[in-house]
Amino acid sequence: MSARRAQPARPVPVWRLAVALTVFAAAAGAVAVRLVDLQVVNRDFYQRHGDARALRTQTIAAHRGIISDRHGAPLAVSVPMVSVWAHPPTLAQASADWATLGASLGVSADRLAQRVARAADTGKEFVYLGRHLTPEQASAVQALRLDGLYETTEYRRFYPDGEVTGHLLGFTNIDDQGLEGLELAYDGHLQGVPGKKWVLRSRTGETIRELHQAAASPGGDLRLTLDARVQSMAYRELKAVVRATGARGGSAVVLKAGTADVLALVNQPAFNPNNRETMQPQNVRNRAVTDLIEPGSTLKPFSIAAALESGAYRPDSKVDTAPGLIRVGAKTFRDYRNYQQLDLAGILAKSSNVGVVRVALSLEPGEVRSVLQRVGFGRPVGSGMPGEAGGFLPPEGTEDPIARATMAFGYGVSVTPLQLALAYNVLASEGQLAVPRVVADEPIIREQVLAPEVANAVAQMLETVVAHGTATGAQVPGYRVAGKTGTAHISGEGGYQNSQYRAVFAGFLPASSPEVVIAVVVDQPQGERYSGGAVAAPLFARIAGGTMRLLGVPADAAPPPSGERASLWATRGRQ
Amino acid sequence: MRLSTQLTLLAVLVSLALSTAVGRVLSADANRRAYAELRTLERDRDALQTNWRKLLLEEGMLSTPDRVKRIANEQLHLRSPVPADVHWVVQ
Repeated sequence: MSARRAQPARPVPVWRLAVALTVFAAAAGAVAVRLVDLQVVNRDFYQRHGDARALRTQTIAAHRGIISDRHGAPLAVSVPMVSVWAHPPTLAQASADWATLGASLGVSADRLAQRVARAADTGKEFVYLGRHLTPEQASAVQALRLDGLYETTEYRRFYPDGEVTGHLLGFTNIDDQGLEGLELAYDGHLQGVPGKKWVLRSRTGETIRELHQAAASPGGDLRLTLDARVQSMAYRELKAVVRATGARGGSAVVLKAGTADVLALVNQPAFNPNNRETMQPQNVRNRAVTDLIEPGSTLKPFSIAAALESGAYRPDSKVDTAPGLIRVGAKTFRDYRNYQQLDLAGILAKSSNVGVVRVALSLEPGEVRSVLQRVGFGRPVGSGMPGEAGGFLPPEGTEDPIARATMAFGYGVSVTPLQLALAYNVLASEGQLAVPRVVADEPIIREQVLAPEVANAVAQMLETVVAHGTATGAQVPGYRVAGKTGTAHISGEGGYQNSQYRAVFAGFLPASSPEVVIAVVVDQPQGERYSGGAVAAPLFARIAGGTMRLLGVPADAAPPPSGERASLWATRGRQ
Repeated sequence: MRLSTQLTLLAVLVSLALSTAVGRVLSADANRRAYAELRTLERDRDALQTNWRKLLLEEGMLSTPDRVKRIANEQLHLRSPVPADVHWVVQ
């Protein structure tokens, strides 16, 4: 019975079974292949497309640090601005109203259309249409609501003091990266590192969830040793003198005596860092640290220091400078006139070439050079400012009397104005050489390079130079001033140019307890008055007087006999 | 185990499962709300920071020594003292 039931009515042909099986197997195989194709072979592609619809990377902006002066006044601040960029293929199709868009961006319609078309043709996905727009421009563009037009936040750096701080601070490029000056030197510190976060967005574009975040680290602030008020005053005075004398340029450096904090560092000609279009490369140079000058007579005090150090001379040692000229080898060095017998202070006060040459040649060959090297000449001073020049000293072991003689009064040597100020700081601070400080939290590095007695003796002599020597123009009422003038011929092609000079003055005050050291250089003043005494010394006096007033340094000189003695005028500035 | 105990256990487990499911939904919602608030606060913070920088810059622009001097000279007719103006007190 059971065998009968099991017997099929009709036998199924084997081929039908085979066909059915094959069809099902093929279908299953196709599904498997498709699965592998989607999940393995093209996985990245689909993952990407999925993510592209839901995942977004957002940048977290990071400010560039603020640069401020020693009292916290801002000197450079980055402010966010709106920049507009386009996705060229989309924008080209959007058949935008170029005239309106151009008007709101401040570009001509044709140029704009061309730019977008060209970018679209070359297959670019990104092109800036306008950067650092004003809020009005940005909202005008926004109002157009064009497809393929996007906004992004960028930073623009502003310098409230403009050209006054231009050389020292330098500037940044349009991407807010330091290009010159301290902006370049401390770029790594100032620059913020933008962060990123990966977020999940809903269909409506709302951020739902944050998946991962790389935190932004904002740029560090930079507090300088600069005093914005002294800087501004020094700039004004320098500019006035350069303009009045028709000079080609000039520099002034104001240091805090002892620590060599840079209180002011100004140059002419200058540039406005807020306006990149008007910048001229030759005006961007920070002359006070990059340009080499022959310091001329301002180097004589160091030759005198070498004489005192040798022990062969005392401050009151007499030197015979008659007949007002001295022959060294084939060269003859002259004085302005025959000063006869001079003591060392007298040599400085009259700025006697003969006296200084006579003294220098009587010393061991390397002694003057050794002092010059110790007070910081001939090598970079380590200010950290870009382009800092090291200057030139004749090589060690120079025995040639002519080279030794010229070096003794500041020729055949080249220095930067900053080096000159630092060397005078040695005289002002009992023989200690300091590394200049531009940034306030840098360590103070000082080194004893001259015996205190030697430095003090020379400082005292420098007081007589200002009191009744060649530098009476450097006097500042109420203060004892020590300093020295220099007038250097400018060497060009074919040797020294007869009618081109550089007026130099370096000094410090109040001499009883120096607070500031100042070096000024005026490059090629035109006209009758070109000497250090006539041009640079009065400029020094104006900057020095202004600095004393701004810093509130008490007067140390005996009051002028004719002065009224009623009220103390010395005002205390902010410290 | 008796049938009633088993049923009770099942009921407890089912209610637990349901309540955690609801809890999950609620917490996801709370999380989303909190995140939205965080975003708003972050935006506020950024806006304030930006504003602070702008004000700082504006203050800097208004108080540059150059501008102060110009106003002092031209509008208030102040000038720096010359030596003749200086009176001395000798103690």
